[in-house]
Amino acid sequence: MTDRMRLLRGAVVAAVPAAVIPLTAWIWWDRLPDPLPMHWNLSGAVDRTAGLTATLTGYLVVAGLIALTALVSAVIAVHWRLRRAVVAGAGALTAFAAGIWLITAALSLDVAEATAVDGPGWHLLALFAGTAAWTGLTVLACGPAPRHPAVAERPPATLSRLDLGDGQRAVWTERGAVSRWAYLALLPLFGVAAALALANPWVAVSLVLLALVLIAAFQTRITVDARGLTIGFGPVGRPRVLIPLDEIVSARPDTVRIAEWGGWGYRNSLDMRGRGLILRSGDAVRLELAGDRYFLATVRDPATVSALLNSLLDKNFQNR
Amino acid sequence: MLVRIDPASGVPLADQIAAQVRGAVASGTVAPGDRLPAARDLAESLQVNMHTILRAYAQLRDEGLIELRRGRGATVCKGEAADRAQLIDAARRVLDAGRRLGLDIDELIAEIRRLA
Repeated sequence: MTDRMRLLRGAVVAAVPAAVIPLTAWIWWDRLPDPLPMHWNLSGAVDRTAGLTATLTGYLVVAGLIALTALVSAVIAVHWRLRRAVVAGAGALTAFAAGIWLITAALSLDVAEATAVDGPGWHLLALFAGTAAWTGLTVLACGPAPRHPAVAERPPATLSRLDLGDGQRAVWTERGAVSRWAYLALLPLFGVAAALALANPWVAVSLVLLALVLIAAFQTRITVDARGLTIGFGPVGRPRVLIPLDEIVSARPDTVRIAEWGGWGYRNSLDMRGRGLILRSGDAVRLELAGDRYFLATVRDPATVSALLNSLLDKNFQNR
Repeated sequence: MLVRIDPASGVPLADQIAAQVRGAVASGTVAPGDRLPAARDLAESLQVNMHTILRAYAQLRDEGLIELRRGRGATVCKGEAADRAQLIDAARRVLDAGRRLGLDIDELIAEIRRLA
């Protein structure tokens, strides 16, 4: 399957929730009140309603446009990763829109008056979980990013090496040290959760779960060995991102400022040529990659990491 | 933490790995409370059997440098792990030198006592 076909497969997955909306509307049409509830206040009473046809048209247009964006971006000629990000985002948005429609419709089934419809409870948790799951499924459907052709040169001789004997094997590994400020950034989430705990416990639970997932994702381990550079996320080191040795041109120490990357985390550089695991400002290792790309990771001892990588690259070159 | 091994040397792989990790604890590259890589991952990276890594970790646990807990993996002991690692490193070197000189353990202890 070509790279474009895999993206199209992802875009189709992203479009499926948009199709769920008219399908369920058609099945449930006679059991839905007109108008439909549109918004509940914090105590769970309906405070806004909208006509059934207008609501349905609204959801359909929004979800349809997003699905169309995904399909178009799957075939146009820009960075594969950028297109995948658009497709994944579309999957999230269509799933979210379809989820809200499904919740509204399911709560309104066989209720005579829109104002008598109960407010959502656990549905909200399901909405967030479902959106996350569908986004994940969309990314999976896109498959892995296309591999670049192997690098045909050794790293420049001016870069440092580790003296690594012929039969020797080496690994370098470090747990990512996250800046404490990153955890502080989660405080508002907990604050909002606490404030909502009484009014709508399900929203509070969803927010706390989201915060826990983010904290788990903050935990990273970077490993450099004969396979290349691997980043493992979460307490068990899965999922993983691998930068294969074949795609690395060279490695050298560098420094990084959070502001240059627009935030913390595993992210794309603003110029779209680079990726980075940016956990704080300061020391980092910079890898030049095939296809004029680069990768940056904040590490405590970039001199050792880059020396090891350059030595492994030499070895990889000899063994070819 | 950098771990290098040489399968061609006469020293058992588990001892080589334990020595490298001990060195990292001694130098503070891994700090008290830090989690060491999962045995399975380290084994994959070094292309050795997982039991070799587990043997190395068990050796470090017996030396009082790391804790092994089910589910949490290996973590560097809180407290004076770095000093302890340096002590054990030094003691091992003393033992090696003693062996080369043909001294038994009591004679080694006598030597240390003389210096104290």
